Amino acid sequence: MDLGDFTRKIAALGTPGIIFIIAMSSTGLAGAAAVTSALAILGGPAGIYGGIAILPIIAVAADYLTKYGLEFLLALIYQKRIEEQGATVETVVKEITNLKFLPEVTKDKVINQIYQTFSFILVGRTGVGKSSTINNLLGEKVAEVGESEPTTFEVAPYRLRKNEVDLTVWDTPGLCDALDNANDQKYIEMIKNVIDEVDCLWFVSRLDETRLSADEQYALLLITNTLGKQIWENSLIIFTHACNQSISTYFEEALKERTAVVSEYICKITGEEYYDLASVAVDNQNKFLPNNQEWLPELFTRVIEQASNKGGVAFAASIGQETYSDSTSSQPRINLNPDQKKRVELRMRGLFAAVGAGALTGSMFGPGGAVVGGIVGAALAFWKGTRR
Amino acid sequence: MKLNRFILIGRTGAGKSTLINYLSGKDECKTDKYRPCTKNPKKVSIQLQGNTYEFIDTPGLGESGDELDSLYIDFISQYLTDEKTTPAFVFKSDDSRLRSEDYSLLKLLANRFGERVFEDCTLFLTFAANLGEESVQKATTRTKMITEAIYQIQNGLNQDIFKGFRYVKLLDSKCSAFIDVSMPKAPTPVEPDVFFALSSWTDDHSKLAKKLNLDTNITEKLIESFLYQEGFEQLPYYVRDLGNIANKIAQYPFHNSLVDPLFPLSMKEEHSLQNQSDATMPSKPNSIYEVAEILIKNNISESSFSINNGILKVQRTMAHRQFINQEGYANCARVDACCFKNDSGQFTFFALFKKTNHPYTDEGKPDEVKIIEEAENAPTICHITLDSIVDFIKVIKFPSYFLGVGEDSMEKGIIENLHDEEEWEDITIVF
Repeated sequence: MDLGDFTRKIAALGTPGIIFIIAMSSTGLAGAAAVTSALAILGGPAGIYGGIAILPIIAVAADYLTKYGLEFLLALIYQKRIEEQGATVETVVKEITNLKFLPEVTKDKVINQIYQTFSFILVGRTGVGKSSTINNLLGEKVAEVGESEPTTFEVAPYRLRKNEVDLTVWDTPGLCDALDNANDQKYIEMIKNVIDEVDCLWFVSRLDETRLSADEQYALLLITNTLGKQIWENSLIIFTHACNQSISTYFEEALKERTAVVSEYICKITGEEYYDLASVAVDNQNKFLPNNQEWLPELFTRVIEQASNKGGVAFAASIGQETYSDSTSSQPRINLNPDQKKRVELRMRGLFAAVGAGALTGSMFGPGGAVVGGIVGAALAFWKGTRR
Repeated sequence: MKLNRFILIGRTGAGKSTLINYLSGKDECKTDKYRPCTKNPKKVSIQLQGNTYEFIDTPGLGESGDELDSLYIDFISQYLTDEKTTPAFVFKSDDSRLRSEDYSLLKLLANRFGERVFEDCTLFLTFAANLGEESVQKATTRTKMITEAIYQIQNGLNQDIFKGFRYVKLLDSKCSAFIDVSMPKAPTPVEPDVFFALSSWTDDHSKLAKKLNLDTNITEKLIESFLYQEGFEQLPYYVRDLGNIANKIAQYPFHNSLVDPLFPLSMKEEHSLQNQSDATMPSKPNSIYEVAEILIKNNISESSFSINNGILKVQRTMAHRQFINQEGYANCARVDACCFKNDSGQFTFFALFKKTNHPYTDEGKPDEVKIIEEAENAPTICHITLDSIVDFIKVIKFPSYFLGVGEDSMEKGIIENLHDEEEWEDITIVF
């Protein structure tokens, strides 16, 4: 049973699963009976039921605990809860905070670990502007910019740490430029081996192109087959060179139509009837688009909206504060307009608050501010900021 | 060789249908800005400067699937068996590398038709406005890229080597002028590098291959092909013959290009292709290319200017009838003007002025040829930097306006004259 399956099984058990793992970690493996009595002592709800369901995977659990340690495993399990079972930050943080027999420092570590990473994967032809766009978004040169012609396909990660969040950008040079299709299997293997999570997929193409070319279609097909069609729910199409003179008189139409062309193709390859893919127009040589609006704030907003659930928190924590400025006289680097602020606030609310519930409970986050510091705290502060 | 019928070949979105509409001035071929459009081949007859040309539009090849491709290939083959049809390849000028569809298109054609499909062919490079500055250089690089791909493919199929494009035209449907990239340059002394690489007197041509950035194997075949064309069985012994071959090779990728232009440079006189209103055309040009277009709009013939390495150069000579003196000599003005974009993106306009006196012919008319000759050799009287494209056009259109200015401070006089509103009241400059 691989790590993904294991964490999924435990996640499906809910709180008893968590208590089981903690019990195993603290008592050490001492036989099925010992585990079930530990469960009962720890007060796991429906202790006997939990015990019966868990028995078959005790050995596996022991292995993984030895290999990865408690904090990491708990983080993975909770990630599964967030992505596949719709748990929100509030419920997750609450549950972890309330776990007995877990030291406070461990609790903090687990929470931070869940939200500590964020991965982008960039797909598009060489030279369209993938690197420039990601560098502009993150405000730092994280990806190499250059017209170097890819001769081999390589999956190349760029890493950046911002506000305790580890950002990874996976570039896919050569994927979109293959001169022959002999290397399908190799590419798929490479991607699967190297990339374990994707919080946001970018497909980057030029806005002034007249067609979705065969190599772009091929790359989209490969990526969909490798990462699964659900990846499109956390995707963003980025159209570069939006200020090019040849389209400046009809650039809004171009954005709409080019997005439709890509959506049509994704429908074709996934067999779905309809996709309304999110897209944004950018221009790495200009701050303003032909309609006189800044593109960077819109890109930021779209990433927050489209990123995976756990990713949304991480991303907000990593560069969210760049949407504010210290003084009233200078503009923040990412200058959200009121409408964008609203959209971001809505998304953050969805990530944080339990479904059906309204505002945050004060007790969870303490009177003076965030009881939970670290990454969740930063994301929370960002959210509070957008509500101003 | 009289070329009349062209079959346009290229991938979807390259601009084939748009090109035909551009040349004909009508919207006969359907186009689409976003999705593949042309489904059926179509023949269109176009009148250009008194000649009739026939253009055949085809759907994009290379990615619609094998079944459709073989239908198109059959259609194309009907035309290629006829000697009078020349293939015209349409490629986007702004791709930095060959796309897989371009490559598979060329391969498909080479497989099916062999060398015939590349004989006497023309290359149209579209979307020129996307190239920005140094468009000719970029277009040349692109031509090399495509030529090399053809060599590689033919090599793999053991075919006779591609001789080179006959014409390479760079154009954009939104501008009314296009550039003949393949026009041979004025004869130059033999390129030393090429000459020495050739004259090593061995069969090893790796140095020349390196110089041209081609496979050694392909370079060998290229040389063989030249020698054959010139009637030699091996590298000639005489320096002069070697020099000729070296000169031709140095023109690569235009070593096989024809001297006469295929179409007129400007399409403006033929049709009124106004796909954008003059109101939206900015008076501030963005590129040398646009400046050239503005010159043409103001009836400055394309034979008077050239674009090279990002510099637009114009020459005009004009005799001023008002200043004929007693001996029958006329004053004659010559302006050499140039324009280029400097590092900070600003345009610089520059003009040199010359004056000569010249006799009229016996019939009392200016002797045009002699005027130009003498103006070439006359000393420069002054040179000025011009403020704007408006002044640039003024000095080019009316060089003789400036003859009346005194020689003491000609620069000052010319500038004053340029800005004298009364003088220019009746003149319209078109943008």
